[in-house]
Amino acid sequence: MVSSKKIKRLWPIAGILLVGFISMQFIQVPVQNDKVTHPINAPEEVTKIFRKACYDCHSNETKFNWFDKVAPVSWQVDHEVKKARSRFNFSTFDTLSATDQQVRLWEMVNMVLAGKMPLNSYATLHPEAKLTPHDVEVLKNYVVSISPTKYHDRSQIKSAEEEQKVLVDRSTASKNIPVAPNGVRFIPDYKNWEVISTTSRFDNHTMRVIYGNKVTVNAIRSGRIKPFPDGAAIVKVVYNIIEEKNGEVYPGAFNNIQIMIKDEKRFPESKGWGFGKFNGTDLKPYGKTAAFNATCYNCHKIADETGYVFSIPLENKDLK
Amino acid sequence: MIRMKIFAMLLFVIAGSYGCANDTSNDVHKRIIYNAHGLKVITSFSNRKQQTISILYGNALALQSAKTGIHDQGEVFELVTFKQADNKFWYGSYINGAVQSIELVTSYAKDKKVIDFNYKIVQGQVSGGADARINSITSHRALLFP
Ligand code: HEC
Ligand code: HEC
Repeated sequence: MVSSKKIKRLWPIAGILLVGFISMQFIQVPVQNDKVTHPINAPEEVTKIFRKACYDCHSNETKFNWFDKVAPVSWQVDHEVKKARSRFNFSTFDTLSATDQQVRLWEMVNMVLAGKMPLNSYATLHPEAKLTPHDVEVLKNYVVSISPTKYHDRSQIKSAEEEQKVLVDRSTASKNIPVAPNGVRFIPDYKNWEVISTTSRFDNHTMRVIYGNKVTVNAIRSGRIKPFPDGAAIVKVVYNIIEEKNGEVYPGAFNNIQIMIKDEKRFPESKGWGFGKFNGTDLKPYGKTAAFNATCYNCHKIADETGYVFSIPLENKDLK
Repeated sequence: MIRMKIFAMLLFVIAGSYGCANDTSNDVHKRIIYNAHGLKVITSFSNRKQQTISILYGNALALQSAKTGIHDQGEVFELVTFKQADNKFWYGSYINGAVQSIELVTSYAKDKKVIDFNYKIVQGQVSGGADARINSITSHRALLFP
C-alpha cells in the first residue's frame, strides 16, 4: 500500500511533468503542407492506393490524427514526413522525367513487397493504410503496364551490330581510370573475377552480368554476408536487351557498369558500401557530387537481409 | 607444458573439423557460385518462355573467335543454362537459379585447313542435335566488357 503522504509528495513532480509536456508541444513547428503543383499522373485505382497508404508522408497532403500531433510523437512524425518528402513527393511527382518516374514506381512496389513501406511504426497506428493483396496486384500490374516490351527492337539490333565493329578493332591500351565523385574507382580487372550471378530485367529491359572479387566470392560461399567483409567488391555490367516474341532475350549494346566496394571506414553512412556508376563505353562517372552515393544505398536497403546486395545466388533451399 | 600444448592443439583440430561437418549439414542455406574454372564470359542470354538464363563461357581462344568470327583449334566453349528464378528482393528481375544443363564444345584441326568441333553434354538434357548445338554455341558474338 502506498501511503497518502507519499502520493501528496508526488503531486509537485506530476505538475512539473505536465508543464514540461505542455511546453514540449511548442518546441517545434509542425510540418506544413505546401501546394500540390504537379501531382502524380496515374489511373485512379492506383492513386487511390498511394493516397491511403503513402500520402501522409510522401505528399503535401499530409493528414494526421490527433495522436500524431502530440509531442514527442509529433517530433518523430515531422522528422519522417520531411525525410519522406525529400526522397519523392507525390504532389510534385510529375516534375520528374518519365524514366525517373518509372524507376521510382518500381522501387515503390518493391519497398511494399519487402514490407518496408508504409513504415511499420505508422502502419501499426494507421491500420487503414495497410495494402491488401489486391492493392499489391494493382500496383504490380501498373508498373508492368508502363514498361512495355518492344519486340525485335531494330534500333537495339543496329546499335549491337555497331558495337561489334568497335569490338574487333578496339585496342586494349590502358586508359585513365575513371573515378566516381565519391572516390570509387573503376576496376578494369573485374573480367578476371568469378561471375556471381546473371540477371534479366523486365522493369527497365536490361540484362546484367555480375562479378565478385575473391573476398566477395568467399563471403557468399561461406555464408558470411551480414555484413560483407571489408574489401568485398562487386561489379555489374549492364546491357540493353533485344526481346523476341518467341521468348528469346539477347544482349544489345553495352549500357553501363556499376560497382559496390565495401569499406566500413570510408562509407559509414551507407553501411560501408561505396557505390560507383560508369556510363557508356567511355565510362563516364555518374553523379555530380559524392551525395549520389546515398541515392544508390537508399534503394539497396530493400536487400538488407542479404547484406544490401540483391543479386547473390539463391540459397539451396530456394533452387527448383 | 608441451604435452598440454599438444593436447590443446588436438582439441582445436577436433573442434575445427566438427565445425566443418556442421557446415555441410547446413546445406539448405548454402549459396552456390558456378565454378567456371577460369573460363571467361563470352556472352549471356535468356529465354522467358523456356524460363532459362544462360552464360556462355570460353577460354582465351574461344573468346577471341567470338570477337573475330574466325575459329582456331583449341577453343573451349562451355554453355551453362540455368533455370530462371525470381529475384527475391526485386519484382522486375529474374536471376539464374539451379543449373539445368552444361554443354561443352571444343575445336580441333581436322586437317591443315579445316577446323572441326566436338560436342558433349556434361550435365542435364538438351534438345537439338549435336550439329545444331555446335552451330548455335559457336556463333555467339562476344559481349563488350569495357
Ligand atoms: C510514416 C511515413 C511514411 C509512409 C506512410 C510511407 N513512407 Fe515511404 N519513406 C518514409 C521515410 C521516412 C523514408 C526514408 C527511409 C530511409 O531511407 O531511412 C521513406 C522511403 C521510401 C522509399 C525509398 C526512397 C529512396 O530514397 O530511395 C520508397 C520507395 C518509399 N518510401 C515508398 C513508399 C510507399 C510506396 C508508401 C506507401 C505504400 C510509403 N513509402 C509510405 C516514410 C513513409
Ligand atoms: C531503384 C532501386 C535501385 C537504385 C536507385 C540503385 N540500385 Fe543497384 N540494384 C538494384 C537492383 C534491383 C539490383 C539487382 C537486380 C539486377 O540488377 O538485376 C541492383 C544491383 C546492383 C549491383 C549488383 C549487386 C547487387 O546488389 O545485386 C550493383 C553493383 C549496383 N546495383 C550498384 C548501384 C549503384 C552504383 C547505384 C547508384 C548509382 C545503384 N545501384 C542504385 C536496385 C537499385
